[in-house]
Amino acid sequence: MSPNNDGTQAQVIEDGASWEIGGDVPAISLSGRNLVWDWPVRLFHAALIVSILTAFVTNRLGVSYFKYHLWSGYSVTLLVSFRILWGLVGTRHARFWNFVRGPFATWRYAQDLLKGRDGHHPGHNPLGAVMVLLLLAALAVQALTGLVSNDEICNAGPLVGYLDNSLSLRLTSLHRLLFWGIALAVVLHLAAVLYHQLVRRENLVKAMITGRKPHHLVGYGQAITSSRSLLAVLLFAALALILFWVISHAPAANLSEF
Amino acid sequence: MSKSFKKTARLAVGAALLLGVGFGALSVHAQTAPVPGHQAVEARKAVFTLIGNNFRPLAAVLKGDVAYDAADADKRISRLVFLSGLVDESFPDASNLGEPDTKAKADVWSNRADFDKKSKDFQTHLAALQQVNATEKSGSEAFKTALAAVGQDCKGCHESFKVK
Repeated sequence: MSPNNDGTQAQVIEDGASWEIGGDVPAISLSGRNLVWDWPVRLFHAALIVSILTAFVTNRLGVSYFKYHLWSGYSVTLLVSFRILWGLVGTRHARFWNFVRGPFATWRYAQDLLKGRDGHHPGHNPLGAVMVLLLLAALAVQALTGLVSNDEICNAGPLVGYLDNSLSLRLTSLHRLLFWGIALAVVLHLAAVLYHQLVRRENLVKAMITGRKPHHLVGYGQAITSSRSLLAVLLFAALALILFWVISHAPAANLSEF
Repeated sequence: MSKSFKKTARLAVGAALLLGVGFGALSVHAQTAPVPGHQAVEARKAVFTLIGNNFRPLAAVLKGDVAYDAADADKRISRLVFLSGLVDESFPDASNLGEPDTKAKADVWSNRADFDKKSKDFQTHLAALQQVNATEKSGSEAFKTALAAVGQDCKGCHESFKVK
């Protein structure tokens, strides 16, 4: 820690350090500015966990739970499309170009990580960024293929009427296979979080719940000052309306083709 | 070249041509002749098409898309009971052709005991559904539970024995 002629700021840094070790949030911080994750990102993340688990459980429960599987699929569709747009117009650490790095920078980060020389990132680190993109892409494909899948028994996605049956069945196979890809990505994601949590003593879980990180991890001027609540609500409402419109205007599936 | 050689040569060519035409005709015949395995696959697809066509309107009741109709339910369930008796014999050994002819996995034949058990469960659950439908005469919870069990038999068997 560099010598500091500003006594107050040094105090804040030490607070941050004690927060990290003791796990206690200082009652008062100098600026209060340690918010990293806006509430739309946090709510998105929590809702996504619930939706993915629901989708999995309702699939395993059987054909008569398909209605709930559909609902969880709509939820994932909405959440992922929201998060992609939020990655363009959201707050600082939610934006893709503020955390996604090029392949070389990411590779260097991975090497630094192995040598234990990686620095702290207020938002996602470069490898975390890869996982964010991977999960979003996989979930987007999973949601879209789900909308046009059918089980050759009695259940079908709402947009299956747009496709001929053989294409629908190929996409159903992809939907079935991609589950394993997503499961693998989720396991890797959880492993990385556990590593940060237990080995590096960075409480990422708490940060994803409260949105806040210790000051010394956030860095001066890196905190966000607003969650852009109104924009988030309007964006989500617009996406929900679009999804509702698309689903309600889809042609009926010709079931006897199955 | 002697006359007799020419004659022999002409005969040989003629015979070869005749043989060629003969084999050609045979091979055409071989291409168009029905193979027992293929016939069985066709028959099997017909059985499962009818099972699907008669199950889906019932599933619509289960999903709440369509109101329960006693006469329709009666008719479809008795058809399904009849069709379920054809499932087992729709998979003779000769019909183990693999893709693209059939989506039936080779496991049907290599793991026949499990396949037979699943097809037996299908029949048992359909009989139970018929029983429930006869006493309930409504789209009651009991009816829906019995119907869901049948749907689950479809899914379970597809998962094990149908190419996805």
